[in-house]
Amino acid sequence: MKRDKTSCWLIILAATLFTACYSNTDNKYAAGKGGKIVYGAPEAYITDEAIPPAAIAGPAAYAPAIPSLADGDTVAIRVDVLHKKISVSDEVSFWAWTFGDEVPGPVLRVRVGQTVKFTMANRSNLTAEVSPPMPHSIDFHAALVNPHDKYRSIAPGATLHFQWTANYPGVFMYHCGTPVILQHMIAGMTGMVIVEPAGGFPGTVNRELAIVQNEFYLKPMGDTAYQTDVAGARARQPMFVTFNGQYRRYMQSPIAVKAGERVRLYVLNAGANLTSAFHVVGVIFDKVWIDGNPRNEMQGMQTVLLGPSSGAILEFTVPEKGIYAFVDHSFASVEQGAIGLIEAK
Amino acid sequence: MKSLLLAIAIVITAGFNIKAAAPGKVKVYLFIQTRCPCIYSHKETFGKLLKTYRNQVEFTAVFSDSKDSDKDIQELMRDLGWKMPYVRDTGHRLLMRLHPRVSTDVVLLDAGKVLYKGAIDDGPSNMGMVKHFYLQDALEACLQHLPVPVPSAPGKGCLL
Ligand SMILES: [Cu+2]
Repeated sequence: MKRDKTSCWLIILAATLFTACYSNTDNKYAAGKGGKIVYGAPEAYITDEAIPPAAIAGPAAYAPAIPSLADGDTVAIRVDVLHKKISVSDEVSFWAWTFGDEVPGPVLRVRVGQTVKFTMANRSNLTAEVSPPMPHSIDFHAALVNPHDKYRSIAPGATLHFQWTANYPGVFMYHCGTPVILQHMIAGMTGMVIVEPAGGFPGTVNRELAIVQNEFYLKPMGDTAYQTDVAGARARQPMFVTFNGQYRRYMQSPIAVKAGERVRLYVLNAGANLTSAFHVVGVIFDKVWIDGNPRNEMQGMQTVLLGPSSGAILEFTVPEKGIYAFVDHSFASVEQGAIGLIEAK
Repeated sequence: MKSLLLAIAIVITAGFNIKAAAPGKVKVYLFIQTRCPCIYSHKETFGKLLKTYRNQVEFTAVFSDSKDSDKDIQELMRDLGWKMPYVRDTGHRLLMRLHPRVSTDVVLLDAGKVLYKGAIDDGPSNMGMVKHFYLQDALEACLQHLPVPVPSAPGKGCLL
C-alpha cells in the first residue's frame, strides 16, 4: 500500500515536471513579450521637410543576407522609397518602384517584444523626369495596428513615421498598399520581415539565408527597356519568376555551403499572384516552421507550399558534397527563372 | 472602335481651344497620366458620373505629360471603361490656367468659373471606402444652381 502511494506521487511529480518543462519550452516561442501582446501604437505622423537620403537604416540587409538583431526594446528602422532602374536579367531592365533601392526590398529583422520606430521617406520626386512622382505606403504583416492610420499613402517628398511592436515570431511580408496595389507590388514594392522569438529561434545552424520569391510582369518598350504589365499581372502570366529579384540568380554563382552543415532558409513568397512549391533537390526539410513560427512545426517535408505573402523557415542538413538546386517545383516557374544553386564543397 | 476613338481624339486635339467649347455648359476636366495608377481608385465613382451626367456635363480627360502617347491613352481609357474625349495638354495651357495639383484632380467649371477643384472622392484616404463624393456633390449642386458644398479637397495622385 505504502509502495503504491510512493509510485503514485512519483508519477504525479514526473508528470508535473514534464508539463512544466514542455510548457516552458513552448512559451519561449509564444506571442508577445512575456506572453503580453501589444495591440496598436501611437498615431502615425507625416513630416514634409527633406531629410538626408538613406536607402535603409537599422537591422536591414539585402537577401540572401540576414541582418543582425539590434539591442534594446526599441529599434529604429528606416526604409526609403525610390524609383530606380533595376535589371531582372542581362537583357531586361525596368524602372522599378523600390523599398530601400532594391527589388525585393531589404530583409528586416527584429525580436518579439521590440517596438519598431519606423521611418519612410517617399523620394519618388527625385526621378520625375523618368517616372511619375507618386504616393506610396507600407503595410507590415508582422504588425497589429490600424492600417488606415499606419499604412497611409504619403505624397512624394513626404516622410512617414509610425511605430509597431513585434508580437508573433515568424517570416512576414511587407508591401506597398497604395492603389493599385497590384501595380505597386509588381513594380517591386515587397520585402521580408523576420521576427525572432524572444529567446531566439530554437537550435543552432551554420548558415542562414533569406530567399524571397516574386513574379515580374513586364512588357517591352525598347531594346532592353521594359515596363510593368498590369494586364499580364491580372492574367497571372509573369515574364519572370525569381528568387531574390533576378532571373536564375545563383545559377552561375551558387550559394556556398559545406557538406554536413545545418542550413536555415527564411523563405517568403511575395507573389504577387502565384503559389510557390519550394523544394531543394537532394534534401528533405527536417524542420519546417510554417509562417516562420516554431509552434507551427512540421517535419520531413519535401516541398513547402507557400501562397502569396506566406513565409516559412526550412531547415536541413547538407547531406554531402555536391550541387543542390532550389526551385519552385511548379516547373513553369523554373523556366521563368525560379531556380538557384547551393554548392557544398 | 479603335479608329473612331483615335479620330475623335485627333479632332479634339487639333481643334482644341479652351474658348471654343460651347458657352455656358458645365464642364469637368480630369487631369490624368497614363503612367500613374492612382486614377484606378476612382474607376467606379467617376465611371458612374460619366454615365449619369453625360447629357448635362461635358467631361474631358486632360493629359499634360508629353510622354503619354495616343496609344497609351486609348489603352488606359479602354481599360478604365470610360467613354469620354481627351485632350493632350502638352503645352500646359490647361495646367497653367486651372492649376490642378496631382493627376486624378478634377476641375468643375460653369460658364468658365471654377466651382470645384480637387479629388473626385476620398476613397484613397479611407482604404477604398468613399465617405465623401466631392465631385458628385459639386455637380448636383451646380446643376441645381445651388452653392457647391465643398469647393476643393486634396486629391491623391502623381505630381503634375
Ligand atoms: Cu507604392
